[in-house]
Amino acid sequence: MILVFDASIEGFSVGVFHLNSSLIQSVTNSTPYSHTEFLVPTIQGVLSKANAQFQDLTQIVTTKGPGSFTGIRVGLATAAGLRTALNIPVMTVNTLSALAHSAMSHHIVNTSDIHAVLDTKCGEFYHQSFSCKDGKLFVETPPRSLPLKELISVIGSGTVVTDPSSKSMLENIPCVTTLLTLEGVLSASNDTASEDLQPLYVRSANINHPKRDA
Amino acid sequence: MDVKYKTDNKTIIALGIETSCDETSVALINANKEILAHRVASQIKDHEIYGGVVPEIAARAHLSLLPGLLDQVFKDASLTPSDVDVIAATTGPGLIGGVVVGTMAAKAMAAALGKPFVAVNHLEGHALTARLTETIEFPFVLLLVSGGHCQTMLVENVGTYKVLGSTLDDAVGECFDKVAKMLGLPYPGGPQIEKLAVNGNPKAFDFPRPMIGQKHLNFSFSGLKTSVRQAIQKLQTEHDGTLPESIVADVCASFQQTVARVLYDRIKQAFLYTAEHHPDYKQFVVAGGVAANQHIRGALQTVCAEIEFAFYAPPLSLCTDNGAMIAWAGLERFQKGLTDSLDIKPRPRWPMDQIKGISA
Repeated sequence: MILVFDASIEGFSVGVFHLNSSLIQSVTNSTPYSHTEFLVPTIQGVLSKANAQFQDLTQIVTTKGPGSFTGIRVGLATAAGLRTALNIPVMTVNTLSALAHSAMSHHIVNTSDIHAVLDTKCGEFYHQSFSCKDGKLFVETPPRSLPLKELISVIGSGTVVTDPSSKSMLENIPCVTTLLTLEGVLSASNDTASEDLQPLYVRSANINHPKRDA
Repeated sequence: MDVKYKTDNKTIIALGIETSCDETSVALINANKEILAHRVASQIKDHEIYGGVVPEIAARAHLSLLPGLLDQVFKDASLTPSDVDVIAATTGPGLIGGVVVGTMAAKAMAAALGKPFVAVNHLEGHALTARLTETIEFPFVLLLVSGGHCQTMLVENVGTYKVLGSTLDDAVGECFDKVAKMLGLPYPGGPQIEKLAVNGNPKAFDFPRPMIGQKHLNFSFSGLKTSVRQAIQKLQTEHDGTLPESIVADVCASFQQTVARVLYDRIKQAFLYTAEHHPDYKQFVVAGGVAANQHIRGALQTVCAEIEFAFYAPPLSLCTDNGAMIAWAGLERFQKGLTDSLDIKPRPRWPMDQIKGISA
């Protein structure tokens, strides 16, 4: 049984899946900043509704960013605690890749030029482009943070996939809006997952100049 | 998913996680006061070019260090996570990005292992540390002096604290770090000042001694800091910008002596107040990073001898932030039945008199 959760954008979601990727139970909480309180109790609740125990889990999959810095750390620190306690592998996936997979799994995109975009909330956008051949996604560019003007030129005539919390920041750019789904996270993990707990911040800690005086 | 409490006679084992400032630390201890494993990873190198702790850098470092430290302490102690009876983490006060990392890892472990979780107030961790290394019964007077805190309190029992006095502006450790920065000394400045002060003349400069002799129990250090800054600026002008080592040593010695003198006076006032209103208090504990300063310890030992309080201080290694103190506070709270639910929210601010006690 696989535990999948995401806390990297806003709110969080938790699900348990069979090894064949079919969903058993899931819960989504869209309240921003509620993850530090409710992520762990929600994991307990989802397992309980699935009549399962932590010991039944064989694998954990979560997102590593880019996204909210705090959200990324909430997810990965929770994964670290679970890994220590249960001694099972944790796979971490890129949030932009998971978003592209979310759109794919809902069959709402079928073009060959896909651009996953998320608002950084720092005046720029996280961006990564993918191509799609025979229903499979291939990474075309590494994840980056771009200002709007550059984003528009990079996108060109491609299809933009974004999540509802970023949509309003994309002004008049036509885009396909999808929630980041747990199916998308799981599906992305079959393509490009890491087996470590390294976060993918993309943006630096934003400290430009060391302070020189007290 | 019921929490399982231990019923056999095996010694209780606690895991403690500390991530509230710039030390990432994990410890395993047992109820016999044995530290089974203790790892402290300092982030000083990550922050020193900024001259202070940068919150986002600290949060990132805690996440990259914590998983490895968790694995390491179990190896060190030859234990497995299921051997642990209670899991504790600092859930505040502190830099929230770091507190979140430790809190989430601890809650996830508690849930997955079906073990109780204790949300430890970082200050309570410092307050109870001396009980890990010494035999001290309640009650006692506590002076907590660190980079972020300066307060005295009556420690009546686990979870029962009454604040006597607090700093109205800077914490003592903050004042040390800022003076060090003015002198161009590396971060963190406290240990540097103590080292250089050894060769300086403590009477070379006559700095103000804020609040000395006053009856109330609060502290203030910003006026002293400003006065030291002005003196350093004047000296730098006189010496074309670069101070000779001997003068740096004199500034360090005079500043440290002034802080020690102020703390001596403030603690004397706290003792006189306590003797009058709470005559059952006969013990004094100093905790926090500044308690590592031997000169300040000496001044506090002097006032204890004068007013007849027994003096206790944790060993130097447990004065600065560490996981063992969090494991110990978690164990003490667990033994009093003070465990927490897994929907506790990490708190950037959490005054000690708001800690949940036995009666609450």
